[in-house]
Amino acid sequence: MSASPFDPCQKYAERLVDSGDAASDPDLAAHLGTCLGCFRVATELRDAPRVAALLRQAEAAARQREPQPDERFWTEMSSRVLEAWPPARAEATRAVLARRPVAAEVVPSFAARLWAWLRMPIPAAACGAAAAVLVISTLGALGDRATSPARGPVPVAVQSSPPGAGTKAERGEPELENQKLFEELPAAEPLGPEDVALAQTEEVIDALGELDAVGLNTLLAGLDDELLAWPQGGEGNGEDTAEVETPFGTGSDLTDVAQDLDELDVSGLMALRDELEMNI
Amino acid sequence: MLLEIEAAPVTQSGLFEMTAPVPPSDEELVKSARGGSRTAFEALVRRHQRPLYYLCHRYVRDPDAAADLVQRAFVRVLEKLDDLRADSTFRSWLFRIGANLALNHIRDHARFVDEEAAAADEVAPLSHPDAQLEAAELGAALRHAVALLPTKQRMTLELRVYEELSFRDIAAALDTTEGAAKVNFHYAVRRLRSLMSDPTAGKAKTPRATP
Repeated sequence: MSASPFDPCQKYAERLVDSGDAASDPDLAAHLGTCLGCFRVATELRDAPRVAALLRQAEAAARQREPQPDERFWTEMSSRVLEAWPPARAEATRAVLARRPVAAEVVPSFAARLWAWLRMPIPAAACGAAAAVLVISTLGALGDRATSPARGPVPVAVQSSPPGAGTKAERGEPELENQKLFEELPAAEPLGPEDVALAQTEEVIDALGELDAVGLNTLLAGLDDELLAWPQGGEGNGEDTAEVETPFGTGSDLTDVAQDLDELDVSGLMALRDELEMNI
Repeated sequence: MLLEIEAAPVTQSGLFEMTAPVPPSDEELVKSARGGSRTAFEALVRRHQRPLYYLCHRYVRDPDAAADLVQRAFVRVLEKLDDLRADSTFRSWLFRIGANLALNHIRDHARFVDEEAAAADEVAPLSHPDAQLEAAELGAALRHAVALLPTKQRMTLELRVYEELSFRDIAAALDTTEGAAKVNFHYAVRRLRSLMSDPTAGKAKTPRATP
């Protein structure tokens, strides 16, 4: 393009290309009379209309010779394009994905990125320090718990346990755990004799409700004064006995029954057992 | 709206004369197609499919390949419709897409060019430059000479001669300046004149355009 005739006289040359006729442009005609380069361009472009006409004629003749698409091809073109549109979009997407480098598709997981981050020097040191603090604090807490005495006063519930409940070894391991839990409870108001009797009576009712015939027989066979005397008050003199309603009567009724049972001999107990079996 | 009714001509029967509706311009259809109008896009296809087909056919010389290129060009239009610049007309943009697809097709199928078809397009030797040749023979010679032009010059000449685009639209289609388009047109005409006067000047080159 450096040797373009448009360089010195580009404005006139472009006007020649646009019009192709300098006769209607006096300014252009005057310039052509003084510029050999532009005059040569005008001479070359003089054949442009003839060349264009010949090309159009040749194109029309070629269209007549060559087979042309039928009318159906033209009418269905738009629908074919619209039908081809989604697959073309999908194909373009696949092509874009195929051009992407393989390494770019491998996205590390969150765990992998976290592990890589933890392996860096500063995060690794911070995590180690945090773990050390956690271990030390845990060990310190365990040591304090092992050496500290039982907190708080002994609950009244433990004091109101039935006499003759036995030692820790006799009560077994689960009961020891319950005992420990009771010891850890905060201090509570001391329970009155009525509360103790009511709570224990409810426990007895629940236990008797779960017993079957054999269990009841066993229970009745083992009755003695100590077990039957539990509804009595904390003073143990019988005057403050709480009148607690039970399926067998009030607490004083139970005391009378216990005395009657104590006076029974073996044959009487057997008769009582048979009667209870019949009732059950 | 009232002024339009008053200005409408009234026939002797007292009825308003029905004038043919003005077809929407390419810009209006493109705007509607961008908004999702299928009808607007179909109108664009119907309006430009034949010129685009002949443009592709001039490059590939194969009706089936030209039909396929037309369809691919319109699919490309659907894909790139939002990329159409405001200073470029839809027609020139469409022809640019079609020409590029055709040139790519020629490049990809260069080894499978039908030799017989190429031989049929051979320019008949001119016995004398001043001889009176029939228009058909001269036209065939010019068509072959156009195929020998460099790509930019060929596309400029064809868009100017066959599609009658302005140099502004040609410049937009070829992504160049209007002055460069005029220079290419001038060079193409000058080269055709030289080829017509000396048919053996372009024999060494391939008869197919190279992108």
